[in-house]
Amino acid sequence: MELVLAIVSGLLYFFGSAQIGYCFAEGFAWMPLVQAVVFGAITGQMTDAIIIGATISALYVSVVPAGNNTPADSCAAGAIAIPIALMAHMNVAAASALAVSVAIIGNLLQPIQYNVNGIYAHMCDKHAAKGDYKAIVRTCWMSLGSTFLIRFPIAFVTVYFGAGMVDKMMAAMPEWISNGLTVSGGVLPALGIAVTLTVIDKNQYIPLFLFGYFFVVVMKLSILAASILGICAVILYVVISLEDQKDLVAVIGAGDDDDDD
Amino acid sequence: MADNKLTKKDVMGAWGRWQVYAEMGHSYERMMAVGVASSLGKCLKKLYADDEEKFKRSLQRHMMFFNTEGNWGGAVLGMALAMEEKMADCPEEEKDEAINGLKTSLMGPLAGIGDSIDWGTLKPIICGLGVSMGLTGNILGAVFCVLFCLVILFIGNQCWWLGYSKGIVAMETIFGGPLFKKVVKSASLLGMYMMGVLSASYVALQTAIQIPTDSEALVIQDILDSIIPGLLPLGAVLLLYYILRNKTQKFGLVAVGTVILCLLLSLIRVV
Repeated sequence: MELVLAIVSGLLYFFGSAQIGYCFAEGFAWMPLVQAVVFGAITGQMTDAIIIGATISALYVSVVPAGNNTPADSCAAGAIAIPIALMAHMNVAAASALAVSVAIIGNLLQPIQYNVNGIYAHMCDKHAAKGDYKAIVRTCWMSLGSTFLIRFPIAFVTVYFGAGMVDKMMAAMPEWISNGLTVSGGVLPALGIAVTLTVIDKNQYIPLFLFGYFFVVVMKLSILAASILGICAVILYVVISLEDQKDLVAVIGAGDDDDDD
Repeated sequence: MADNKLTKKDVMGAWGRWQVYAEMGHSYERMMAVGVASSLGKCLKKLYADDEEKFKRSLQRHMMFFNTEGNWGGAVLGMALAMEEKMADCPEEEKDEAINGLKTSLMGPLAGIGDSIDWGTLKPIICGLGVSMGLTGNILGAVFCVLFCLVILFIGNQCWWLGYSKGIVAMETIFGGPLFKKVVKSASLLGMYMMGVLSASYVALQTAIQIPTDSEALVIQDILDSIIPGLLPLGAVLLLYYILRNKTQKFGLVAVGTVILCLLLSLIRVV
């Protein structure tokens, strides 16, 4: 039983973390309540599983994955904590506490996964330059390989050997590596943006870039708020410059008329 | 002159692929770019069946940094497909400017809208209902969560098609006219502005250096923040931009170097 649960747990965690299928991964494998149905079916403790799953889901139901931040790993919370809780016949409160402590594994693993995926992005650059889109798709699937190695073993080992493994594994990773990977997770988007700036290649608009940057930092705006302001300003620019053009044409046109005989 | 058109089947096929690939190769450096290129590849191949060079350029175009919400953001990709179709014969610089401008300008706002509606509103409501049923042991609660998936899937489907169909209409209306140049320019400007906005949101860098003094330790990050807020993340972007423009074009090398540098700086407790 433990083996089956451990394997299923590992697979669910991998499937959710790799996000194969945007809506279904985010809405299903990241939803402890739905994961609970699977574990309930395996252990035969369906009602208990559902109640535990719902309790854990309640913690994460209002969590929004915004931009680059995944605040808490609800996929791990469900995939790992539910089978452990069911096997140990934990009560709901203990299961919740376990879920929360397990979820921090995401903070360790996500920087590893997203850093490693950078390799595939660069492989795809080469494929794009050769015009081989099928290779790009293959590389996309290839990324599942490393994601599997990052996500499956930990879920499997934790469910099979017990929740204490999470603490052991967190302790085994030197703090400077996990911190370094998190920092690189903050700096690599700068590289992506720098690459885009290089492609756009309009140095004269850099002040606009700086304006957008400081606007958000100083005013502490959300992306949406800053976008609304930006879009309004740009529409205004288009409207005003079109009006100016009409005025200009009218003035020049008037000048020409004077010369007609 | 090629006059390939995409059918609804082509476009929605790309949507289906997007649903699978959107977050699959997600990396910090390009985010959803691998997903974008994988999803749009087949349609682009059809559009540029006669011209290998243009096809290569279009693939490279869609390997640029891209991050948005998967369902609402699909509208941008639908629009990008419409632009690729209508602008197929334009010079590459124009296409780059227009399509990159469109994607960079709109990916941010649609991410904000999509996250707020799908994940910030619909999820708490529908899944919240499911959770309250589940707390009583009712398996129907899980069904509600699956229902949530289907609802946002439907939204994503509609947004993608809307982006493409309205994009075609818009292109047919303004393309070739005086308004088009203005629109492309505003997309470039807005894109530049949005890159700044996104830098502020996605790039994070702080120094952990503290200088011990007689009273309290001097936290260097606080000092930097009081001079210019957000100095280090901006510095990172501008430094990398300078390196890419003047020193090397090897993105892979720079990326690996960045990760190693971050690890080393973490080791000596600078970050």
